[in-house]
Amino acid sequence: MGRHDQQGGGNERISLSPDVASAPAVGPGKQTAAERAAGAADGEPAAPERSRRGEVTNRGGPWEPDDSFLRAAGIQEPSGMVAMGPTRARPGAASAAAPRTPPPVAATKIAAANSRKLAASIDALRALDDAALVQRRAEAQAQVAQPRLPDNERERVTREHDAVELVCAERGLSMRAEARETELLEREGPMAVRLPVTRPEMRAFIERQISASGSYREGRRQVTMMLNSELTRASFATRQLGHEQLAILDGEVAQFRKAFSLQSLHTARSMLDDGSRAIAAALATYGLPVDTVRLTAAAEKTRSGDDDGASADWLTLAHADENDARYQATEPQRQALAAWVERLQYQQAVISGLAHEQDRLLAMRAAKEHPAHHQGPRGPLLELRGVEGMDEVRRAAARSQAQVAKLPPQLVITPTPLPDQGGAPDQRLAVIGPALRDARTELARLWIEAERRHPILAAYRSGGAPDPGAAKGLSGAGNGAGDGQMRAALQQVMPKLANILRAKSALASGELSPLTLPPVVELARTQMLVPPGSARTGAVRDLVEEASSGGWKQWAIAAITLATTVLALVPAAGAPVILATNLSALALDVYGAVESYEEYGLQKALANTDLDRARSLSAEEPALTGLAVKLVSLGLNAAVVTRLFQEAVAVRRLSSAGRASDDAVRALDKLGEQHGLPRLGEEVAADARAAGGAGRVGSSSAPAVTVQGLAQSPRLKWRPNPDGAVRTPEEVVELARKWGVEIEEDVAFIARDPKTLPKNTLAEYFGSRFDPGSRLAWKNFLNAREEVSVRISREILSSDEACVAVIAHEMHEINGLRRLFEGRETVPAEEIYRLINPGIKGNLHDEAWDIADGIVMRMRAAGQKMEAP
Amino acid sequence: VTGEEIVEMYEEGVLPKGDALSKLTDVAAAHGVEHLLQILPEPWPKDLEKWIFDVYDNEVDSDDFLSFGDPEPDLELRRRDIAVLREWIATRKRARSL
Repeated sequence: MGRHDQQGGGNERISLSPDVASAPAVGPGKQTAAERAAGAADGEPAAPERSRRGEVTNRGGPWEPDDSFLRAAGIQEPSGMVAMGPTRARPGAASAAAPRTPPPVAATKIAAANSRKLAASIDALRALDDAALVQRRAEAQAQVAQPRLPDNERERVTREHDAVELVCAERGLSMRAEARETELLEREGPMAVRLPVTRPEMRAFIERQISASGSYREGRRQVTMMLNSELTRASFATRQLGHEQLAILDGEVAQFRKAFSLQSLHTARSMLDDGSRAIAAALATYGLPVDTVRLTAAAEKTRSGDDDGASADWLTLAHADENDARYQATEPQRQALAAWVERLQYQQAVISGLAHEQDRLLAMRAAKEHPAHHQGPRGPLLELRGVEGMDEVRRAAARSQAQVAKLPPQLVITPTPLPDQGGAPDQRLAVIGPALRDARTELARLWIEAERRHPILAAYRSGGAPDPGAAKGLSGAGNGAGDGQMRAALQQVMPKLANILRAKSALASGELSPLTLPPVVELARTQMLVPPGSARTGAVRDLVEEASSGGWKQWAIAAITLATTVLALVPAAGAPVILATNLSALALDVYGAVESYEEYGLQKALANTDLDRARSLSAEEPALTGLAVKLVSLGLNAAVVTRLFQEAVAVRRLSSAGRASDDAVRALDKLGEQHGLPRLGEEVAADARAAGGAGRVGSSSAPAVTVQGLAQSPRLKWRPNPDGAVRTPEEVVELARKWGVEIEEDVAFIARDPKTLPKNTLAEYFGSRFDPGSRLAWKNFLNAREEVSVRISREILSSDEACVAVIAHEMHEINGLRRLFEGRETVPAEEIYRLINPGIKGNLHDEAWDIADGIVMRMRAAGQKMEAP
Repeated sequence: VTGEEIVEMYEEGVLPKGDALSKLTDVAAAHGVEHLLQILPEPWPKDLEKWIFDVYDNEVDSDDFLSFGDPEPDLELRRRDIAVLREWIATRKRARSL
């Protein structure tokens, strides 16, 4: 219970015993730039850390095609170069025809420690225009082709060469080639290549061969063959030159292989450790007293076969005196999990029913077209199954509706319309096909959204497609209230966590090679800034092939995939920022390279990467998750998917701000049309306008507080207190806690004159302006007393519903931010902005209104008068 | 709201330091930066000056700034304010170079 002060200036203030220990881990004594920004106590100005303008543009701004893109797309060739792509497209290889992906994050932000110098070179090169870059590429190739360089000089020129190649690959600039080679190639066949006679050209030639084959070993073999072939008409001197350059590359690649193997091991360990922490953090949101030590002990118990014992221990601990209050307080989070599972199961039932109906109609058509093959009992049986299928989906829908009717109304399913059963079979088939496709897309979208809110759901999709049925134990129907839900969650999570421990142990003993874990390889490749299509990429492929010659360990891949997924979903779990940054791009990188892994027969283990890709793609703009799912499911090239999505994001943002031009919308329409998505621009713009229009909280005229909108604001009109009572801040905090709102002791609520708050705002805890490159620390949110001060409008104090809803809303955002900062000292201001500002569907602000509405509905359903505590 | 009131709000724990400086910046843009720097108590003038340089001494487009806590920002006013602040920054830099 706090104290109630009367402050000067008309503030009614409640301060709840500041608890510094509960504040997030911003290291005391560490003077980060963000701390300087927030350094109120020591009198330092609270300015944010700011990055350079160029980085800001790279990270956040909408991407537009420029000259280099047009050249890369084959519209304009770089001067002095002849475009000659690889003879066979390799995943990730630079291709003149491929659309360029958007500018990446600064290399220095994602590089591993051993690649920092390379990263700095890359960032410097990104500032060059294409002509200057091409010039640097020629110079770098000339330098790297020099024999007998001292070791440090060799290291420097190799680094410069790698940096140039990576930036060229980003821009889609083809590898250098001599025009004469092409002439011969066309005239006499693939072996008829005129071999280069200078060192830089020979180096470039060898690199092209490696890029084309995708493997360093194979590319090298082909070059050797060409050097010795009569068709190449190579002189003795040319052959000598070729062998000299191969020897130089061999040396570079040998060094790289060692470095990459070490980096992979380090990356794998980090991913598994951080993944365990992320799982612990995910479980803790449900009130389970989790830490990694206890989690490890429980997983060990599970490994020894005592699943029930492990989950029973947890639940006993959760109900212990010191933990029970927190467990009870997190009931809304557990309810929300149950509601999401209900939603997912309903969608699954819809898909099942539609699929059965489609089967039935197809069978009927087949029977009509080929009666001889389809006579007998099979026809009526299929007919029956189909009818039952549709009936079943309707029954499932009814059951599901009945379950969710018990839940807060904001989580009630919006049913997917079922197609009418009337009409001829062909007509019905024509309707059901698209309906089935849409229902599957919707399930994927819902699953991604559910995972974002409840990362433990990721444990229900490893080794196969997401299965809401398997998560039944988490739903209200599966276990009802009580501990059953958490027991089910623990029983699902613990064996997977045990596999993570097993993977760590196997890595340590050498039984498991990190190179057989695709997410590890991709992340290590990102961290070491390996240029796509380069000799180094070929060397990585060779390493993977060699490591996997003994077979792939599916359980280990599943373990690392789960760790990665949860880690990407729970960035506040103590993961190093650098790893978290990389993870955001990881799924897309895996996407680019997935064909390689499919060649190894890993389709099953990597079957769920579509979801991760869509989730990663839409991380910047969660409102476009549905579009991300659609794009990924179309099976388009990764670069095309990324570009389409980025263009859609740009149009959406412009539309939200009322600044989208018709030309921009039409351009996206046209781009979408080319890839099977007609009217893409129009749909994105219309959706953005609809969300933007609904994203404002309306004026609050007495006696009731009126709110407007559907998506980003409360749906309910709050009722004034019937007896006209006006509460104090202390009373409303107590009331909110009574309704399950989690309010830490270091949060202070201060009633303010509405005129001192921004227009149409009922509460505020953070009101600053920053340039988009800034990074914020938790201290930016704290006042001089190390509290988060929430200014609430006095006008809501006459409505208990308004008070509880507004406090629930603000606390959901504040608690979300607190968790975000628990593992990160600073966070980009843009990321915070996307989390808490109105107009971004699915963000914390959006969720917060869902939760606030739910509580108000519970208040009404309980039929209680809101007595002042 | 005046500069003194904003400082008072910070001291009472109503505002975090960054929020207070952000609001002071708005006041400065409206009523003159130099004037505000002269009337603010220590250490606020130094803090405010540093804040203005840190946030606005760049080429970021006015419309690209991120505004927290204001669902309906007046973009035109923001553009004018930022222009005023940048003009003051330029003047201050010229004075330093002399």
